[in-house]
Amino acid sequence: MDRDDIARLYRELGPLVHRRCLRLLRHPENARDATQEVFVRALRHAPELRWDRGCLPWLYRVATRLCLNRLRDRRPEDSEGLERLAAGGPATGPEDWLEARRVVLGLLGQLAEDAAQIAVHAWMDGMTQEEIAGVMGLSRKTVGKKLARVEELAARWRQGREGGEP
Amino acid sequence: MSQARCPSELELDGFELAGRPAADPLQAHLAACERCRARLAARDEDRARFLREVYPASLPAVEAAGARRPRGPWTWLPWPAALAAAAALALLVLGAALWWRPPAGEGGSPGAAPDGYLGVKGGASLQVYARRGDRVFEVRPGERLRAGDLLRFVPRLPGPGHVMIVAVDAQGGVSLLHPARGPRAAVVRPPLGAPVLPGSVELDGSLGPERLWLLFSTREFELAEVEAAVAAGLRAAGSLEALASLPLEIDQVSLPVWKE
Repeated sequence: MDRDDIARLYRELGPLVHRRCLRLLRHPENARDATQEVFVRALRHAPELRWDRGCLPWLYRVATRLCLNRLRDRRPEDSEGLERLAAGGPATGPEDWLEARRVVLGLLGQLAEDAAQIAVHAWMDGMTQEEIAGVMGLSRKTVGKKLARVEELAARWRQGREGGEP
Repeated sequence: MSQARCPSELELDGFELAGRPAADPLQAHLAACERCRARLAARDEDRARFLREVYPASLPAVEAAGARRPRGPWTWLPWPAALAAAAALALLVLGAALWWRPPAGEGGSPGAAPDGYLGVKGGASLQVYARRGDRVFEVRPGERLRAGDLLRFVPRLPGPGHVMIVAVDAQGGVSLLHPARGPRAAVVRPPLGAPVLPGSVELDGSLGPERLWLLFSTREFELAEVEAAVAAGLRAAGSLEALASLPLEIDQVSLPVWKE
């Protein structure tokens, strides 16, 4: 792959990855770094990837995991750095999309990586269980079970928040 | 007929990558759904912002990474690559010592086998340390490692010989971690104690179980032998988890990890 190919792919796919990282991290510099990192990793896997819509599941998986890990490890000054961005939620309004992100962040300490990723795909990306299963390489049944468990935790988390618990 | 459910982000990304084709079934939904048309407009703004603000600043790093030949799922990082001045070298030595020192209270007593010790008495053994951000920790069997973690290796060797460290994934893929280049094991004349191998290895985004193998022999051996042993061992054992040792007449220890 020569430099022209790389530049073209980055121009075509970069906006999709960057949008994803920005929505999750909500911090411009961190999102730019994460986008770059996802691409560097993608280029390492260049021979195995199909550089069309077929690479989207791979990019989703890697970008989501990377961002969730960074959110887990974030410093206070890194968080909630940008509220001016258009949210553009999938099936509901921006307020609901942001609320979904707040719930994911609230639960992050309790969720295993795959469960957190499922929550992001279901609530923030508006994916069906079949789509999530395809992206994560899991069975639909497994996704359904894990999602039900995450939704239980989310309901409890919301109750706790409404009841004034931290 | 337009679909009642709004498309997911994944569907919209696929639609965009395909150039928003006029014949795509999503078009009917978009014609009827004002909110999804707004989502597409927001994407146009995001794309323009990316091309204006992010693309020019980050393209050189992406191009540089792409220009390097892929090395499999692990990346070797020289530690650091060039140090011309003696002062810089001194800093490096100090930095390396601080880097791999076990966390306080863990395996620090001289002469005692540390908690993470893997190996047999009188044979080779291996300790692995990971750096994640500012945190350094010892990698234990079954440790969950993340993309971006940096690993360093501290082998204890019974004497002079030839050493190699590889990572094996569940599909039998073998990545050479030490020496940095193949095809032969590195010749070592170990000093007393446990030397830290130079360089660190960065984990990338590949997923799932892997096993790190330290191989030591007084005879020369090559990566091709190890790859053949991995293939044969996996066939016989059925899975990486069940592959306790490689069918090689070589002193070996391994450490299972999970990349997530």
